[in-house]
Amino acid sequence: MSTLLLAFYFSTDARFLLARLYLEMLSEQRTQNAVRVALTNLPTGLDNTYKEVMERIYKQGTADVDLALKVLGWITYAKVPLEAKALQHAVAIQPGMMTLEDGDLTDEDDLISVCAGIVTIDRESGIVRLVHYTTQEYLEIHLKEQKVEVVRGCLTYLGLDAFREPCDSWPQWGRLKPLPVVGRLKKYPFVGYAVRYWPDHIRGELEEELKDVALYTFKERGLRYSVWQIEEGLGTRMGWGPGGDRSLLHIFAAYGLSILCRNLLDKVGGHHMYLHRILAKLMHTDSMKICGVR
Amino acid sequence: MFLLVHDVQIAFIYFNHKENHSAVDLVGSLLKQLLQQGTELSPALHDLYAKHVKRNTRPSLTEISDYLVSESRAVTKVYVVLDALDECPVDQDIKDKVLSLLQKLPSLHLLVTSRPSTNISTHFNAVQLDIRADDHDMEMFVRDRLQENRNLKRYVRQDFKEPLIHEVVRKSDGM
Repeated sequence: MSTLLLAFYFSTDARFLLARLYLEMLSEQRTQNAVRVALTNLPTGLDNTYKEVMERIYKQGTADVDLALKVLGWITYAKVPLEAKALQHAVAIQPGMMTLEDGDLTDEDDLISVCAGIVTIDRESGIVRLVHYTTQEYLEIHLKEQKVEVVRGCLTYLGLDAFREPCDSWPQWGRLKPLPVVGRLKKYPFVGYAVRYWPDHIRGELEEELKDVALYTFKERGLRYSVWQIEEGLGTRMGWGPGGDRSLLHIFAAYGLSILCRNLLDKVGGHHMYLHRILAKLMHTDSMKICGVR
Repeated sequence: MFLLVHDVQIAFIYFNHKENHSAVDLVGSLLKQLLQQGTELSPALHDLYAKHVKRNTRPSLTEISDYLVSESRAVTKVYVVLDALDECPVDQDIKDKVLSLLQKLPSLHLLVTSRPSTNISTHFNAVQLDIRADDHDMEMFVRDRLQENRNLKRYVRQDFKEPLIHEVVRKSDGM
């Protein structure tokens, strides 16, 4: 005999959330009377409250606004929850950046505080997240422009000098020494995410918009090799292919980035034998279609 | 076959809209959690493992489901908690697959928590419990937060504390 209990949590959590955000707003006031005034002007309902929160974010200094938008963009669009360390690196990325070191990082508490109460860190897991699922829904509508920044960020990060070459030694199986790539993943806590998810972020319409960046990022053989090493280290590599020495087309095709494939093929032209050999190994029919293979 | 000697076993799935697991992953996780509470693995499971290791494949949903059902027969009570079921991805019938499997477990005690949007009545006749925060709960919450907030402690005078709590509680219900 089975028994079942179904517990519905109604708008309960939203009510706690509103109370929290209200208190956050009140606590920003700097006189007794300002608190009184703010109390009478509290926004009604979640949507208005989010609107007010965003307005308060935009009222900060330029640097803080930039930082807050980056944090919110990354958390909203990240494919998996991000740890504070990875997020610190992600928001540190600037266009054209070639190196990233500790001196470029913002303290994790500041990442939270610039977001006016809608971002929180789980101290136990180190995961930084939005306070509520409705926050996500709101930001997906109101922070659309951050979507492209997330892809740019991934690609810029992969383009750092640190990844231009694969790790020196590639130890054989059975050695006790940890793989050098583990050290790299540790030193660059965002690179695992960037390697794993940049294709998911770019796939579709953003491929066209960012094709030059993508082509430029992966043009170096050394980088392609080190990306492969990291995929190996993460265990996310696809179970086929020529190992670390992959062509650009291989990478784009393996991840089903058909628009990038087409762009690349338009650029190189000819080389049919070569392409067919590669295509024989490809899994994504999408790329096949592009190349006219039937 | 009856190698799971413990009387009571507990398994847990926490759904998160950020983590898209497939039905195989989820049901596999249930099986793993239950097996970890047993003492031994059955020979049949060893065979299944050997078969897939050899071919470098993963067991299918049906395979895992069959084992879950057969292994749980030995247990007096299986408690399963599905937390935040409403955050289960809507595509690919993941929820339906997991629920129809659970339906087959002979001695299941299931606790589902969810936003009210979730409909599982097609699978189960459930006792339903609504959880709502009443004003008293809210008041305790706000009072507590007020106590911890340094800024508010500084700028909210003792005689304004109660009106503030009252107003925040009232306003928070304006959904």
